[in-house]
Amino acid sequence: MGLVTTVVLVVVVTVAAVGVAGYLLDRLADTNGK
Amino acid sequence: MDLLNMSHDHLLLNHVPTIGTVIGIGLLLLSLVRRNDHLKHASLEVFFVVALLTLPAFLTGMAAETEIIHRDGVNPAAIVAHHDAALQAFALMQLTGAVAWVALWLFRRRSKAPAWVIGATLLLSILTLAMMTPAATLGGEIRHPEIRITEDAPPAATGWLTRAAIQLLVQDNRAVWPVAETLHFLGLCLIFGVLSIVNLRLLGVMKAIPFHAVHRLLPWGMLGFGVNLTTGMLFFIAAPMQYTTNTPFYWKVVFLMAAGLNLLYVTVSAQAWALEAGQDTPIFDKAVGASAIVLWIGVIYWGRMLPFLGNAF
Repeated sequence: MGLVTTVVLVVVVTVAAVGVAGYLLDRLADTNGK
Repeated sequence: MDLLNMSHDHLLLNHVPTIGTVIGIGLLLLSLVRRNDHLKHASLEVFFVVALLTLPAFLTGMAAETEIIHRDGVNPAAIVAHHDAALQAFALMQLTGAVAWVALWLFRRRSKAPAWVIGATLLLSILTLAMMTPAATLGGEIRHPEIRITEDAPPAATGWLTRAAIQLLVQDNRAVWPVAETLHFLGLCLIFGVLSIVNLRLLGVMKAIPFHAVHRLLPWGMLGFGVNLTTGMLFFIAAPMQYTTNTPFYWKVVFLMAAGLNLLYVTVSAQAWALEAGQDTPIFDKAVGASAIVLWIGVIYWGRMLPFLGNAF
């Protein structure tokens, strides 16, 4: 696999993982009243 | 005392992760026994601050290594064993600090942190202490023959989270550095974007938005911080000589510590949380918001200056 392909793939996978983690944390954010 | 002597700084800071974790665990256990939320909150803050200070404790350790490794009576293998044990304990400490931060964030949002996050913090902190104690002992043994059980160097740690494994990973895969560099910049965008919004609201900009709405964004900033801590540590461990004698790097860490305390403030502050739509902020909050923006720009500036004012690359 070429350098550019590897960099793009790993970056996309990591960004997706951060997105999922952020979404899950955001679901915890609902507050009582606010 | 010379604060620019990194070996001395390491001797001062290396007590924080061990003693700080013991204090944090003690407070957390006491809070559970007494069913006291104030104590629980304090213990979580202790874990966060200790995790923050563990970063310079680790970084100055590497500078201390270059200072003493060629001296008489110092066994390089003992330093490597200490380094790898400290690296693994450092990773667990950061995980503990991150989970403690989630607990503090939930405490502010719900006025009570769920039991699972407190349980996770306690478990991780105990594991951290179990890793940190041998790391500290191995560090002490480098210059204190009187506490060594044998004269042989301790066996080096194995696994993927060691200096040798990380350096090999970077040397053998030319994609690792550009991947880490790209992610480091994306993480920076997340941190700076989220904390700019939060601190601009503290400054009194965007008054139409209540503070609790921007407070909701904070985990995204923390995720960016997690990405940057991971990639930043990879750079540091793979090529320590670029950083241990690099003055802008130490300024970056100093600014980062202060910015980390600001993150704690915006996460837990009751005064900021109470800001409703249309309300202006008190002068103290304005000062906090302004200084945080300056600090984060400083972190970026010192990072960018590593090769120009310092000796990186």
